[in-house]
Amino acid sequence: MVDFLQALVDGVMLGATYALLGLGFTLIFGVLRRLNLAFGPTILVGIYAGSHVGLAWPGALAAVMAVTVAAAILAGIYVERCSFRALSRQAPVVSMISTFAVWMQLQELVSLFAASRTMPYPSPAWLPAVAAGPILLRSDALLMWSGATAIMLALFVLLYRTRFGTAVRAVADSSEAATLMGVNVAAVGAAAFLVASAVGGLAGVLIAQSQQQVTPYFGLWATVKGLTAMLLGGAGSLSGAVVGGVILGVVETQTLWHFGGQWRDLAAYALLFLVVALSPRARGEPSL
Amino acid sequence: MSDYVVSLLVRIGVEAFVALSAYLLLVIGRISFGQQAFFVIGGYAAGISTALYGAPLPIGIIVGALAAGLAAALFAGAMARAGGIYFAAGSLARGELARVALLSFHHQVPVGADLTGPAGADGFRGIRALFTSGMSVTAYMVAIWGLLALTFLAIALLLRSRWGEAIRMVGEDETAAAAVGVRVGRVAGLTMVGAGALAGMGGGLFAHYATYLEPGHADVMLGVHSLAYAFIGGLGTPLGPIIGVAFDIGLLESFRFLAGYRMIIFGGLVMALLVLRPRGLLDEVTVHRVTRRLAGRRA
Amino acid sequence: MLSVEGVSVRFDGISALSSVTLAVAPGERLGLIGPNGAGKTTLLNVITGLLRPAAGAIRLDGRALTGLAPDAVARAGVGRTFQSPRLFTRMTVEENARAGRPLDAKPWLDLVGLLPRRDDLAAALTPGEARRLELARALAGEPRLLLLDEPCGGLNSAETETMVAFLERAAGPGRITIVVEHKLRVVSRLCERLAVLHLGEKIFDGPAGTLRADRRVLEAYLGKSRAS
Ligand SMILES: Nc1ncnc2c1ncn2[C@@H]1O[C@H](COP(=O)(O)OP(=O)(O)O)[C@@H](O)[C@H]1O
Ligand SMILES: [Mg+2]
Repeated sequence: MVDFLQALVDGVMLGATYALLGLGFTLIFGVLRRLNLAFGPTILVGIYAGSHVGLAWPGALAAVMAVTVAAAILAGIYVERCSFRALSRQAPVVSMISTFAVWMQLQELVSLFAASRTMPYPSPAWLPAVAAGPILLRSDALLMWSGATAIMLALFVLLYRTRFGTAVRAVADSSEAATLMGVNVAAVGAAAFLVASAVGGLAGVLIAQSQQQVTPYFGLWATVKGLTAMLLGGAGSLSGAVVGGVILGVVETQTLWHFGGQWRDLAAYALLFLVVALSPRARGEPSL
Repeated sequence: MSDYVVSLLVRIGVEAFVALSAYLLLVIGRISFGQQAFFVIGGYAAGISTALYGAPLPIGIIVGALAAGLAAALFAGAMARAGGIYFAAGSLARGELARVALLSFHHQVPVGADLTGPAGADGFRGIRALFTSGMSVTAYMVAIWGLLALTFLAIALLLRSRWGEAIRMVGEDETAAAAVGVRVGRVAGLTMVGAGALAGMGGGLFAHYATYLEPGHADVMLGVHSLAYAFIGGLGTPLGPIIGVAFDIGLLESFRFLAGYRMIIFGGLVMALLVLRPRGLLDEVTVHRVTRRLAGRRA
Repeated sequence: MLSVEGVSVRFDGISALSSVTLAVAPGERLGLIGPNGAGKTTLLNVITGLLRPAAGAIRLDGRALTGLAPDAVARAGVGRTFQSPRLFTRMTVEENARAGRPLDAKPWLDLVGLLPRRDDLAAALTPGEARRLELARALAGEPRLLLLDEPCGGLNSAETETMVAFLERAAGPGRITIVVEHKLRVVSRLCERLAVLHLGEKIFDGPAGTLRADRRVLEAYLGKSRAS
């Protein structure tokens, strides 16, 4: 029982970052109706940049964070230009393919500058672990959870309490109707992309400080987590993405606790596969 | 022929099977990032049948293709009617599922003095049927290209046939295809099975050349490259993906000074082509124009 | 005999067809008219299996079509065209007309005047030619029931004339035809019997000649005040 609860708490903490990744995915997909598979690799670029700063100036945590987010945003702008704006007249899946081409570039770029395959990432290790009864709350996990929750709250305020948020949601609902209402759909799309990249960069900071290292495989990892969270939540719903992220986190930690590490990834991928196979929307999707 | 050229030709030949596999799915309008799953399934199955159970090499290759086709049939059972981002996401999950599952797949049996077989993350060593058969690597390369030529011909003829018309119709508009009576689910499902078997054949051929396979061979980049090849060479003919492979492996990879920048150039090329020529160099319009001109000259 | 019995279709709770009943005899050509959004296309979609009715049944020669997948409906002898033509643009004109079926498409292409263009890609056709090719594709299956969704939509008057001439020739022995059409002038040349849909309900069904005298049709088309 304690095991189950501990895994549940761990899962919710982990799931909060998955929820962030899912929100980034949903922001882009909801507004542009196109999938950005290079979302994970843009975060990867941010984390590598942050890692270099951490190596050069040990202890400069704020600089590491700022550079991580800034680099993720820069990479996001590159993706938006190449795979979305340049392809806006073509079928949505063409953008998806193009994001994979950008993915290749970003991954190679990162390894060109990497000193080693595994790069360290600084973490505020001075925080003590907190014990709540029999449940142990690791400091990095706690930081991850509280950080993710704060970012999510800020994001929801942005989307539900500002004019920009209203425009984003209007475009997501129906870009034709939004155009008729005088919303500049292209500008809103680009801005949503920017916000998503920033959210991705922040999620990258939280995840990297918890894992304290990063490999080029992070790009695929983050993309799959975000994609699963988004699809679990119904592909387009913001609150759905949050729920989807938490579900994914809990499924992972529960399989980890009860079956062992090698089953964890298997469960995560099986979950993605099942969501897709069982989705009523999968049928009749426009093809190439 | 130098060893280097032979090895290059083997790699182009092997990759061409995976590229044709991804291409067949593009013909039915599906984008797969996961054909590498069938590549490793075919490779492992072929390797198991020859290295563990003593099957002759050709039988092993056939077993690999059949196993991959069977796996593709299971997949098609769940996904034959899915399209767009859903099919793409499902195929991505499938590719990674295969890789992760192989990490904990152990099936070792004593062969001669030592244990042979898949050993999880350590991979599957000792797939030696090619070298014990006494066949030279050059002869093997020629056999691969012969098989590739046959496969190319078969696909080209299939796509020109009535069946191929149905396949291409499904790829362009499933609703319109159904409106003239095409069994969309069956056509899509069977194409997926055939595509899986092709990737599996590539896996079996590769396993016996490399004598070794590991879960890392199911890297997502294999699937993505295979997909990208068709977008370079063109979707109008099965020659397109083969041209794409030859360009990437034959040209980009062999220039030493490109080392470290290959993916950046390759990715940039794909990106630019998607803008300028969204269906590749030999797209349907170009192929139509060329075949017409050739037919005109003959007439 | 096509019988549509009390068919209703709803989209997100909004009724697009309410309890529509319709019987069309072999050899008969029915004109289906009604203002935009009346439910004409929806009726064709529900017959061809693209939509599931919330209630009601559809039978062709006694055989139930309801619940069949679209491809099975097509193989049961139903051919159709679409309101905006859905051709296979990356295939040739002849391949489009043949559409994977074991048949010779040339007579059908000849019938609609497209035989000289059989080796062109369908993408190269003009809108008028595209409509004719779609008609040839539907006819080539020699359907028992032929459903045409605005076959003259978007055509200029010369193209409309050609199309009407082809449609007049397109009847097969015993074939049931439903023509959805906006232009009354066109549809009354083709069909002796008309049915009118309005807001998902059938408000008229009878000889074309009696249409103009019908009070409900006048109301639907001209608005209540002017009719009364
Ligand atoms: N797929 C759909 N989803 C939601 N509403 C639809 C859909 N198709 C049609 N409708 C609605 O059903 C009504 C009937 O449409 P339709 O059959 O296309 O009309 P018509 O062909 O007579 O112009 C319209 O109000 C239309 O908006
Ligand atoms: Mg209509």
